[in-house]
Amino acid sequence: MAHADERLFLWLNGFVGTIPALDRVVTWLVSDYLIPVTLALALVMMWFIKTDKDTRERHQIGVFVALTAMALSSLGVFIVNAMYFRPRPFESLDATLLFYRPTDSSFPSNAAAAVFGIAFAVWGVNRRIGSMFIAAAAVYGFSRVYAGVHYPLDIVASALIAAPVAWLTFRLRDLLMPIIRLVMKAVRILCLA
Amino acid sequence: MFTFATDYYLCVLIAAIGVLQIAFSIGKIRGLLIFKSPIIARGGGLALAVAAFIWFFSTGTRNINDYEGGLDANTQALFFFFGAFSAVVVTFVVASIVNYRMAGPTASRDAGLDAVRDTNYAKALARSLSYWWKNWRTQTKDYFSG
Repeated sequence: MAHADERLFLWLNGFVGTIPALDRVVTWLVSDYLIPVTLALALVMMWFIKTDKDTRERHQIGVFVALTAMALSSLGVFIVNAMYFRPRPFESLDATLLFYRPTDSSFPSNAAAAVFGIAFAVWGVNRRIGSMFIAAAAVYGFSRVYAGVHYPLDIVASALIAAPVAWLTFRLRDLLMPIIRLVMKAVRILCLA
Repeated sequence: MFTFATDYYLCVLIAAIGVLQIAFSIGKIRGLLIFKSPIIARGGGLALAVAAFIWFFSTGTRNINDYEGGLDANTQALFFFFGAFSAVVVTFVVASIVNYRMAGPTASRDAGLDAVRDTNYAKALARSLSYWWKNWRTQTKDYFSG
């Protein structure tokens, strides 16, 4: 399994340098700022976008659930990282790097788990918007492999951690409701919800 | 000289102003629109958001580790909050000035965002705060009564 993972990584990372324009695009996509910030701004948009009150409230609750799922997915990765350390591919293999040299464990990807956590939670609220979020998270994951930061399995593991975490957060959102309702009531006073 | 964090804050601020205009236009929250035309609000908003990212990525190296001048996840989240919050404040101030004369049908005093659908934000906020100032005891009874 690990051998196939390394081979797939080397095949994908082997394209670096063949199309300079693609490398430049990936350098932006893999950044800690483009896709995570875009998804965060999309959550801001989700907060306001619906015209009828009930649907808007469902989306606003979804924003809270997505942020909770993101935090819990990162926690899940933190726990796995504490038990298992996998060196980054650029440390073990002859890889070309389009990113800085992170020092934490490669498996699973914390950044990918966070964006997948948001994406899966949004999918639970709105399939169409959620699908776009998942596509963005997948592009982010792919870019991190292409750029030499992660093995493919690191990204798959992140999605596999984030999916049940998001599902559980979505299912248990009723436990968060007293806090969510209180915050939303406060925000409503400011005409923001 | 701008630091990395300032650049990031400005990028989020400008992009969020654009995204808010798109959201208010689609959500038909006219009291918060700076431009009434949907094409200008949505097109201009998208252009602003895209321009913010292009400026951010083209004015320096952005793939930097946090111990070499980049931002760690917590700082990034904090500056995102500051940037988005500033964008909300800027939008409310500018929209309240631009839509100074807007006073649509009076919504219920605890209508929240719906109160700004056809009313200037400053007026809607004043009405809401005045309502809550008078009724906070009854409105918070469910949360704090024993």
